[in-house]
Amino acid sequence: MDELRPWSEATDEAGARAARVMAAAAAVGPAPVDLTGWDAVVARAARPRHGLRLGLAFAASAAAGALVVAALMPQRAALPAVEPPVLVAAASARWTQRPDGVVSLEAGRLSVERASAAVLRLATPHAMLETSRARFLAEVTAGGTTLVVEEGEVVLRGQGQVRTVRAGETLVWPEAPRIPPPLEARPTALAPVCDGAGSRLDCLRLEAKGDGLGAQAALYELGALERQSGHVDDALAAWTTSLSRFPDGVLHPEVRLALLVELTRLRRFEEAAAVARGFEASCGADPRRADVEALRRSLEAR
Amino acid sequence: MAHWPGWAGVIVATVGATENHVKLGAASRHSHRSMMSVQPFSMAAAHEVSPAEAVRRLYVAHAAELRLGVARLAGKHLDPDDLLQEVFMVALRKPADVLTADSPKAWLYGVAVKVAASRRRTATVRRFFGLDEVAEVADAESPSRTVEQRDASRRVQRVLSKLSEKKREVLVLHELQGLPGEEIAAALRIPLKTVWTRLFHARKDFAAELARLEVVEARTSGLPQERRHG
Repeated sequence: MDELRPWSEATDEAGARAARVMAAAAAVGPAPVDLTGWDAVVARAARPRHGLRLGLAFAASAAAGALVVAALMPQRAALPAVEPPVLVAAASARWTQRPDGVVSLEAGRLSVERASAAVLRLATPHAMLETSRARFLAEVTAGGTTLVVEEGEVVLRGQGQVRTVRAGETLVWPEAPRIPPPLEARPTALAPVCDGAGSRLDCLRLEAKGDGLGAQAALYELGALERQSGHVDDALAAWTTSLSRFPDGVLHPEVRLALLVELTRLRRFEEAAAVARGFEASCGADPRRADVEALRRSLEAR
Repeated sequence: MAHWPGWAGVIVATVGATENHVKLGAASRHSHRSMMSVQPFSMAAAHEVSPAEAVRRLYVAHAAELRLGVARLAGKHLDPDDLLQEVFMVALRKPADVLTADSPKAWLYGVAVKVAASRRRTATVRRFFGLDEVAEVADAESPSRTVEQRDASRRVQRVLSKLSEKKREVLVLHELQGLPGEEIAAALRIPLKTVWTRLFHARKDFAAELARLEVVEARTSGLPQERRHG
């Protein structure tokens, strides 16, 4: 907007009337000023400002307000002390408690007998367990950590994975590797000499004491039968004997595979990996070598 | 100048002494309403004195006019002498600002506007809480006014109190105090066009409020409206 015309040139009646009143008021000059008033200005300017007084007053008001608020606020009831969990370790267990409160279980069995609201962290060579308000049992063996949860739930972290184990569940960690199907298929009834025998086991044990191909076949089948009967140790003993007596025998690849699978199932991962390495070294042309190698790698990763 | 090197440094560093003198001379032409016989403020003279003395000379030159202006801005319930002192206290605390301003008078009016607005607000709050008794204050207007002028002045103050702060400021500064648009823009730190826009609307509002006031006065006094206008 450009400069306005003087108000006195207003054309409308109200504007002209207002301009006249304004002009009459504007024509009034100022009353004379006593120039000694300058001394009063200087005196006032010399006085300290009220900043300090105002600051102190503000601080006092704020403190009083804070006291009033503190007095009127309802007092919170003191939180009950958290009871620590009760741990019971087996006599053979090796365990310690670190300065940060983490319980480290290196071997053996340890159980939480009384649940507590306090957070419990239990470290094993294979995983870290974390829980509160839970009762559980943990056992550390060379093959892994076995966790049996009786009440509540336990969070397990290991190998970049997280598992939650709830009441009534059992978890063995690390989990056993998946056994490729070609390695599980095994021939049976390799000793035809015992086909008509009254007790095949007795016949096989007798044949195993012999020599040559018959003894190899008898030992292999003896192990398979013992395994089927649930006598795993006897099965392993038969196959181990076979390998020691006939390391380059006709059936040594089958015996090695049987040992590998059984040791893996038993979570004896180091022994299984050793058997796998033996298979790879002695059976380079076997079509199942790639499966054995993959299994061996997953065993060594545990 | 040699006695106050800090202050002289500010002057030299910002605007030349000659330019300042010319601008101040131009500004002093607008103080024609002052009824006092005082020497016009000169920056050339100010260069030869202390900052406090230069501000004192501003006081001598503009005190009466500013006292009336700040009284018109603040309203009749506030002491004009107190307001005037406050304006010049600010000037005394910031001598470099006022003395290097393009127009020291506009700078002082800018402070007066802020002081008046602040004191009006404080007084309103104090009155609300019953802390401030409305006392009779000294009149900033010349006692040699006519009856018609006194009546006009009273009506103007009543109507001004109805206007918004921004409109009241431009109306007082331009129509009553006679400041040109440029000085009002400098005092209020707003663009010149904004000054004219505010003034345009302020005049309209003032005229409307005045008409309303006169109708009310005519009814309450029992006199016909024509006679009161005539």
